[in-house]
Amino acid sequence: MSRFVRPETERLDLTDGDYLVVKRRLTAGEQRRAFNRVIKIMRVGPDGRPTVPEIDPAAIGLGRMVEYLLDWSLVDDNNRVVPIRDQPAAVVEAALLALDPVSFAEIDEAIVAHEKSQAELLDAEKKSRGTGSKLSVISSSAG
Amino acid sequence: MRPAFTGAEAELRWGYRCAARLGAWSITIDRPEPGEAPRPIVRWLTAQLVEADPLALGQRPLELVALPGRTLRWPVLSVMRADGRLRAELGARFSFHQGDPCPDSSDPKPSGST
Repeated sequence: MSRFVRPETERLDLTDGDYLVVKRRLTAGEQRRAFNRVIKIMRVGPDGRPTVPEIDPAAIGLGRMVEYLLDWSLVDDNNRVVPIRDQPAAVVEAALLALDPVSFAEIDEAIVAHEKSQAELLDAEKKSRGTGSKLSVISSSAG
Repeated sequence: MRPAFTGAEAELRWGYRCAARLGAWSITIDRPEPGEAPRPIVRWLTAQLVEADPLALGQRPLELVALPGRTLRWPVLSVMRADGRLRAELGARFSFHQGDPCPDSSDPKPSGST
């Protein structure tokens, strides 16, 4: 199994027949971008180590949603799908922030559940292959 | 040979991921002339390479997506890069919505489309 993320998608069903198309897994880069959105300020202390970061509460969940979302079936008042497919992150973010809070929370919860189930699947797969995340001893003989 | 399709912008995609951004591009289709012995139709893409993700470019399946509109798509069979240019052999164009390959005869007649 490769350590690289294949660009595969999943469909997540929402209430009222709506659905999301999301990435099956995020790459490290996408995960870091999602994390970056939440951090407002991160300073380096006198000891050279990062201090406790200041978090932007408005961005919690949003970064993850923007990174995962590829497409959806959500329509506007004229029954036209609000396009997010292949749109820049700013457009996806604006569309998410224009949702009613209940719908926003539903999408957030669906993506969190998806991320959790994918992490569990990956973990189970690694365990079944005996390649868990623990570092193994490469060699016991030093020559 | 006259290009069957030309455009100013396109992408090679590995799934949803952009493997290469292309500038000016064109596709030529080499098909047997009437009366000529049957042989496979060959489609060549040549394009200016703007940006490439080497990892994604080495993966399969790859797809050529013409911009803007993203409705014209072809499967990519092989890719070569040299001197800021990209050349690729393409399969039959995907149909408008379903992603099924069109019959070869459905490739439009040579013109400056897109």
